[in-house]
Order: sequence, then structure tokens, then C-alpha cells
Amino acid sequence: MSASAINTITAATKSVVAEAQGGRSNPFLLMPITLFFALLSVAVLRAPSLMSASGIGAAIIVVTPLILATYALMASTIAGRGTIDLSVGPLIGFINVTMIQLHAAGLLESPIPVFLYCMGVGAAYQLIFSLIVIYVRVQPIIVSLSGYLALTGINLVILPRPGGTAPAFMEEWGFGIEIFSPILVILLLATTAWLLFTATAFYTHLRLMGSDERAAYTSGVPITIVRIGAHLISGCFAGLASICFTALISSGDPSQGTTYTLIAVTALVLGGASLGGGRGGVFGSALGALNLYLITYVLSSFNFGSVQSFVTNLAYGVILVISLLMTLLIPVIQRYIRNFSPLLYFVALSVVVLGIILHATFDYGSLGAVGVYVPGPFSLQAALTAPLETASLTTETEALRLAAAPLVFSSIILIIVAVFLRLAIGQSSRRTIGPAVAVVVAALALAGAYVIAEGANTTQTEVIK
Amino acid sequence: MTSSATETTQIASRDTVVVRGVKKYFGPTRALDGASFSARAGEIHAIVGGNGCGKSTMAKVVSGVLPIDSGTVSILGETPSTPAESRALGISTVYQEVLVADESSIVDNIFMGADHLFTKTLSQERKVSRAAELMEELAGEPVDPHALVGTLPLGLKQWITIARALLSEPKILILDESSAALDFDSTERLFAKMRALRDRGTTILIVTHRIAELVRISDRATVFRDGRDVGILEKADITEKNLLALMTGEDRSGHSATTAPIPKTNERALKARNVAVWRNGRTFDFDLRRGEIVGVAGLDGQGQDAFVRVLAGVIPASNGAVQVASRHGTWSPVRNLPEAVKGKIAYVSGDRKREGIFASLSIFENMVMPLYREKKRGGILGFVDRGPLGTIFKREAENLLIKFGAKEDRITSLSGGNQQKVLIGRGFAMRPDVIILNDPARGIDVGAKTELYKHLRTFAEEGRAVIYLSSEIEEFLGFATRVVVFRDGAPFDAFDGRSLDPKRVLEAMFGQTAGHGLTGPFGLSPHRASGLMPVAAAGDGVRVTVQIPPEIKATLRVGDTLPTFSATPTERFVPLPRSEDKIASKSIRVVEFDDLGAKRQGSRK
Repeated sequence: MSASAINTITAATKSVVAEAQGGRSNPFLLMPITLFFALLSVAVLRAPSLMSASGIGAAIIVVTPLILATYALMASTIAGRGTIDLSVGPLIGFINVTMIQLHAAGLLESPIPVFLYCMGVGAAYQLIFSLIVIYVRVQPIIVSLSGYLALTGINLVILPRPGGTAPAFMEEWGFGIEIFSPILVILLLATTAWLLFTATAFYTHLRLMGSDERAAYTSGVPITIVRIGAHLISGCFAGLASICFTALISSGDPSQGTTYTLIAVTALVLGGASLGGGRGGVFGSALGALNLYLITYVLSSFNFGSVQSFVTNLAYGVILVISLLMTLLIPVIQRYIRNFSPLLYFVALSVVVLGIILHATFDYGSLGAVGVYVPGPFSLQAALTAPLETASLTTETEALRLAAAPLVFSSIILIIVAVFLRLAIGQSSRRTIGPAVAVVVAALALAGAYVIAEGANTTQTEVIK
Repeated sequence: MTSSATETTQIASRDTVVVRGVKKYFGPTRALDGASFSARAGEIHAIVGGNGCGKSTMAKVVSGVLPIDSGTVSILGETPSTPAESRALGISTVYQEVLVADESSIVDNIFMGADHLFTKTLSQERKVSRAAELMEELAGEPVDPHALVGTLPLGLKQWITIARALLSEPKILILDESSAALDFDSTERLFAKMRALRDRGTTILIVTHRIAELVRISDRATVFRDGRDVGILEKADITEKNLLALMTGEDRSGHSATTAPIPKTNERALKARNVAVWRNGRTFDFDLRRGEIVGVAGLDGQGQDAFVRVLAGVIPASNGAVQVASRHGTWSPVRNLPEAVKGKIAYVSGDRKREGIFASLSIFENMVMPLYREKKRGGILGFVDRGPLGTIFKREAENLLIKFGAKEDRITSLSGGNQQKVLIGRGFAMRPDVIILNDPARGIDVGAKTELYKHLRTFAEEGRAVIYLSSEIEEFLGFATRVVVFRDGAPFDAFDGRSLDPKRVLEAMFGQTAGHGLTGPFGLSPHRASGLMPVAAAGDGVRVTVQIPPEIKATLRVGDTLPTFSATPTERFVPLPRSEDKIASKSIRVVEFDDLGAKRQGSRK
């Protein structure tokens, strides 16, 4: 009997407290979270300079356009009908080159017109897209493919070769020396905007329509307006992505934007969204994009010489396939854990990885270790085993390991406490441990920020190039 | 007694739903052909009829999903043209399909369409507690309102659609086969809810083919036949007899005087042992003799469709085995399509768009494609030898009178009927021993049908066998050797084709016959024929039907506990699917003898 699939609640707990949206029994974030922390630990072990102010700052600058492009894709994909907007990359490029040309013509100087222009163009494009999908009834993938091809060509007409300058106000945005940059603010605002949006009725309509359009239509959901709305949101995200992309390259580039299409689709799938519609969120999408960045970062810490970019693409593909195969395990996991809490899982793993980051940052820092660069021709041995930066094994290292032991123990105890809390509260009448988890997350985030700041001050380790 | 037009006009002031002369065509099919009916406030009004009589179409028209071609629809004085408009009018519909969004939670699904575009009508907390209350009240068990709908069993999904309709105290509630996925207790709860709503003045329209339920619940019934309303029955007149009389009609069109083929031998071409077509469904045996045409009938979704697919190897049986005899009398199993092809079983589907034609290929290729492998040449290169294939094509095309331009034309250039003939030709081209046709006459004209019957009869007379599923009972007249009627995933009754009465077949489809046919000379189920009789029994409040040997049965009385069940290996439990795990170890007390399945109706659902 399939009653086991139903989570029954006792009659005493009729006043069920609402939990965070999308949290309940959504195991699809399991893979992106696992992958994120696995990659993060490898990355900091291989090249601890990631965990410095400039390392994180650079990461944010590079990854933000990709995250926002993935958000743009996500918003229209949730709407269903297999809407995978392939034209998102060229659209970013289009906004980029038109903005550069308009800037060169003396228009678009100050931030507000630039933001309005970029988001407006993105929204306008997506409006046309959605109207074609709704009224001409062409399959979205075909519309987006036509958009991809057309925009790729138009971009080259507008700006035949890379060049031009970005508006003056965003010249310093792309340096990425510090963690807190305007780019990070854009990313946080965009994410917050989406999270606020998920609390609206419109978002519920969007998910219901994406999951089953016929059910939504026959229940009286205004599907035409909801679909147009989803595309408008997608267009605004594309505009923001384009601003961050412009800040990153500080100029115009007609073809670079196009590459975002495939990476963003990969990030979306890696983030656990359903290409069929109805499932997807900023957390998964951001993790998917971060994972792709981390893959590139980890691979760049190995020296593959001239085949580096091929290896990166190979790794994207392999990890995507493995991650999709691993989702086959989700029903098995669900048999044992009925209510998978991605947040708790995230917290547990972040405790472990924070330990690893502490080790990588402080141990090397206090020992004054220097980065070791492997010179000379490509050596497989060196490339695969030797980290870029190492600490020599001395008695001091041993002493440090001993000193680290309490930290390791305390992290294990933290996990046990979290799991215990989860079990204890799960068994009692209260159904949610959301507030408790939020407190733990906040504490961890503060601790992490403190550690990173300290690490950045004390660590003078730089890769010698 | 059918109500007169004058009576209808007298109470017109209280009519909430008035439909006059509505026509709705889907291409050449006339789903509704001038249908009218009206329903009042505070009544449960049933819309009944056989397969394809237009009752579901009518439900969709009233709820604004389907635009009509002509006629008038007036609901509370308005004519809604979209589901959103009808919802605003206070019309709630539960559709035949279980329409839920799998990726969303129960709360979101229940409140689907209840919110305005940007603002919620209730806070999320209120929604959650309301959803939990409603689901507990309806489904009878507490349900986590946050659970994703995709993880729920079908019964609960059905309740979600019903909860959605009941959310806002509808003025008009339309239930289209809404109890299909519900068990006995759930149906009772639904009925109680419906009566409460009716007493508060709601108009409830139910569309159903479950006559027993309808007789209990409805206050008035409009009977549909062939897209028209053929009569209105008042509460006192709603009996199974009256309903069936109206549904069948007096003037069933005359028929060809030909007689059904009679098998010359008792040699079997196909046998099925202990098969069940549904998971946990009842098991039965089936034999197909050479020279026989077996008609298969049943209401939509009663397992007859799955049955012919199982025999053809298209889908695997849930239990038991199907075997086919070769010309030399050896038996080989049929578990999948390759084995069916090897055993010379051909399958022709009536659903040509989905499992029939290759729309982008030629007429020729569509017919002879399965023979490519057989007629290949050049060893490993596997060239297609078009010579003999051309001969086969010509023969079949002539036999079936297929009208076509050039054989290289695309199959989509043909009319629907001719496309169907090409598919039937494909079946014959394989020179099968057994041909299984799944409603092949859908959309083909009378002339082609007559040709098809003639062709199949010749085929049977050559010592081969035919299984013919049809949704139109009249097709079997003078054509089928015997007709098997399916109900609840197993044969319910069987009839001799020589003395076939379409009315009796229809009654059997609705579960109103005694099931004597199964024990007669054309018996289907040796379990019964050899004397295993069903008994309704209960243990732990769970009601099950079990079959036990007559010698044991003779010693039983109501109130007895059944003796050990493992006594003989042939007997088997036939529990309700939901209760199997409960009865396995418990003792079973006899509450009722149910010899011939006549009363099983009430206890099973």
C-alpha cells in the first residue's frame, strides 16, 4: 500500500506551522549541495588563495553573470512547455554590445539609465518571445533557437569585433579585489527579489502552470498573463546578467555572451531544476553556477597545458551526467528520509567544509608556507598530485594538527547536535526547526566571514607566477 | 417515465443550468448533436449514457472548457467561455482526468486558481490549516498539506481535485466520473458531502457510468445517447431497468443477416492462464479456439483494452502467462512483442495516431514494414526485396478495398478510414494465426466495416482466430462467435454470438447481469466452471471477495470463519487492492454468499 508515501500528522498537530516554501521533500538539491562542498574542499586544499579577499572577490565577479544568466533561464523554464531559453547567451551579448555602442554615442552615462535600458531590453525581448509562444503556438525551444541564431548575427553587425568602453561608473566593478563589490550587491538584490517573489500568489500560479498547464487552465489560473510574467522576469534577470558581464569585461564583446547559453543550461540542470517545468529555484541555480565555476577553478589548479579548455568541457559533461544519474538514487533516499531538509544538509556539510577551509587557510598561513609552482614541461605526476601550494611537514605542522583537533571535534559535535535537534523536534508536535536552523546558519556565516577576514590579513601566501 | 417539455418550463425559474440544442463536433465526430437538458438548484442531477454518448463533452461545455459549435448554454443566466469565467460564476468542476500539478504541494494544488493574479485570498497559514482540515474530512485520514502531490497515490490525488472544487461553496458542482479512483468508504464520504451541499441549494451534476451509484444518489437523471438527450427520469423512476432501456433505445439499427463463424475444432490457438491485467486484479483464464471470432467489450477503463494488449504481447500481464500454439501444436509463451510476432500474433490498434501509422512514410512502407526483416536479401547487407512485398501489398490493398493514389504517397494523404485499412492490411500481411484488433472500426465507414467483417470471417474460417475489441456492441451482431464483457479488470460475463442481444451485453457492461455466461458452454474461467465459487467475506472490517471450492463452501454458513486457505493451490484471494496486506494473516469470517457475482457490485466498490 502506498500510504507509506503519505506523511501523516497526528490529530493533535492540526495547527500546522507553515514551513519555508519549496523545502518539504525536495531532494533535488541533494546533489548540487554535495557537489558544491566536495568541489569547495578540493579547491581550497589545492589552492587556498581562493579563500582570500581577492580570491573570493574574483570568484564573485566571474560567477555573477553566470548565476544571473541561470536565473534568467530558470524563470522561463519553471513556466513549463519545455521552455529552455537558448537565446539567453546572445541576449546578454546583445544588451552588452548595444549598451557599449549607445555609451560610445554619448547616451547612457549614469547608472539608472543603464540599468533601466538593460532590464528593459531584456524584458522587451522576452515579451516578444512569450507572445510568439502563446499566440503563434510555436514550441518555445524553436523560438529560442531562432532568437539564438538571429541575435548572434545581429550582435556581430552592431559590434564586429570586441572593443569599446563600459560606462565610467562600472569601470572599477570588475577588479574583484574585495569581497564586497557592487556586483555582489546586484547578485544579492536579484536573489532577494526572487525569494520575495516566491511568497506571492503569482509564483504559485507559475509553478502550478509549469507543472500541469491543463490543470492550471481548468482551475481558472490566468495562464497567458502568468506566462508573459515569467518571461518578463527572465528578461530582467538577463539584463542584470548583461550589466555584470559588461563590468567583468569592461568593454563590448559580440561573441563572448553566446557562450553563456550552454553553461547556463548546464548550471540549471546541475542545480536540480526540472526542464519540464514547475521545479527550480535560486538556491539550486546559484549552486549549479557556483559548481561550474569551482570545476573550472579546481581544474585550473592542475596543469593540463594546452588542452585545459577541452578538459574543462569534458568535466562539465561528465559531472552533469553523473549528477543526473545520482538523482536515480533519490527515491531510495526518500524511502529512509521522508522530509529531506536541504538547509540542514547544507549546514551539516558547511560545518565540515569550514573545518577544511580553516585548515587550509590557517595552517599554511601561520607556517609561512610558500606556493610551489611546477615549472618546465607538462609532467603528469606533478600535475595530478602536487598541489600548487604546500606546507612542508615539520614538527610545527604536527603541533598545529594537534591544535586543530578540538576544532574537528567541535564540528562533529555541532553536526550531532543538529541531527539530534532535527530528530527530537521531528518527533515532537512542532513540525519545523526553521528558526533554529536559521540561527545556526547565521552563526556559521558570521564565523566564516570572521575567519576569512582574519585569514586575509595574516596570509601573505600568493601563488608565485 | 420521461418528463415532458411542459414540466420543464414550469420550473424554469429555479433552473440554474439550461442547455438547449448544443452541437459540438470534433472533426467528423459528432460528440454532441443537439443535446439539451436543464438542472435546478438544490438537486443532484445525473448525466448518464454509454461510451461516447457525449456526457463528458457536455460536462466540459457546461464548465466552459470547450467552446460549442451551435446552441445555447445558460448557467445562472450567463454563458461562461473560459474556466476562469465559470469559476467566477461559482461553477466548480472535477474532471475525469485527475488534473493535479505533481511538482507542487497539496496546499498549492487545492488552492489552484483560488488566488487573484498577485494577491492571495488567504494567508499561507490559513491556507495550510484549511487544506489540512478539508483533506482530513474528505480523505478520512490526516495528510501532510506540504507533501508534494507527485508522491501521493491516485486516490488522494482524486481527493485533491474534489477538495479544490469544494473549497468555495460552489453554486454548481460538476463531477465527471469523480469516484473512479475512490474506494467504497471514500465514495460514501463523497456522497454524504454531496447531499449536504445539495441541501444548501447547490446544483450538482454528476456524470457517471456507475449505475448502482447513480440510482442511490441522484434526484433526476438525463440520459444521453449518440450525442443527444433521450429522456429525463425523476427520482422515483431512476431504476437500473429504466436507465438501460433509455440508454439502449428501442430501435437499434438493423443488421446483416450473416451468421458468426462456428469453430470446427476445439483446438486452441491461444491460451491465457491465471492472468490478471491489473496489478492485484482478479485472475482468470482465457482460451481462444481456432476458427473463432471473440468480441471483447466493456465500459471505458474496465480492463478490456489492457486484456487485448496483454494477449498481443504489447504490455506484460500482471500475473500468469499467455501462450500461443504453433501449427504443430507446441506452445510458446507470449511475454513481449517479438515473441508475439514469432507466435504469429498480429495486433492492429484503433488509435492509429499514437500506435499505428508512420505519418511521414508512404502507404506502401506503412503496410509492409514489418515484413522487411523477413523478406530481406543480400545476407548481412539486408536489402529490402521489393518484388514479393509489392505482391503482398497489392493483394491486401485489393482485399480491403483501400482507395489510394500511388503507393508511394504519404499515408497521411489518405482518409482516416483508409489509413485504418492500411493498418489492418499490415496485420494481415504478416500472415498471422491470430489477429487481435483493438477497436479498429473507429472512424471507418459502413462499407469498409462490412468488408472488414467479411475479411475477418474468411480469416477465421481458414482455421485462424480473431480477437476483436469494440466500443460499439452492434459490431458483434452476426459477426462474433462469442462476446466477453469486461468489468473491474476481469471478464464479467460472456455471451454466445449466435443469440446475441445487445441489450444484455450493455447490461453486463454496467454490471447488471448474473454472469451466467462464464459458466456456460463458452466458459472463460475454469476456476468457476470447475466449481470455485466466490464468497464475500470480511476480516478486521475489511471486506474481501474470495473464491473457494464448492466442497468447502457447502460446509460454510454465514458467520463461520474460513478454514485454512492453503488447502488447494488453485484457489486464490481476490481482495480489494488496498486491503491485501491486512488480510494475509488474519482469519476471515463469512458475511455473505455471493454466488454469481450479481451482488458483488455493491461490496466491491
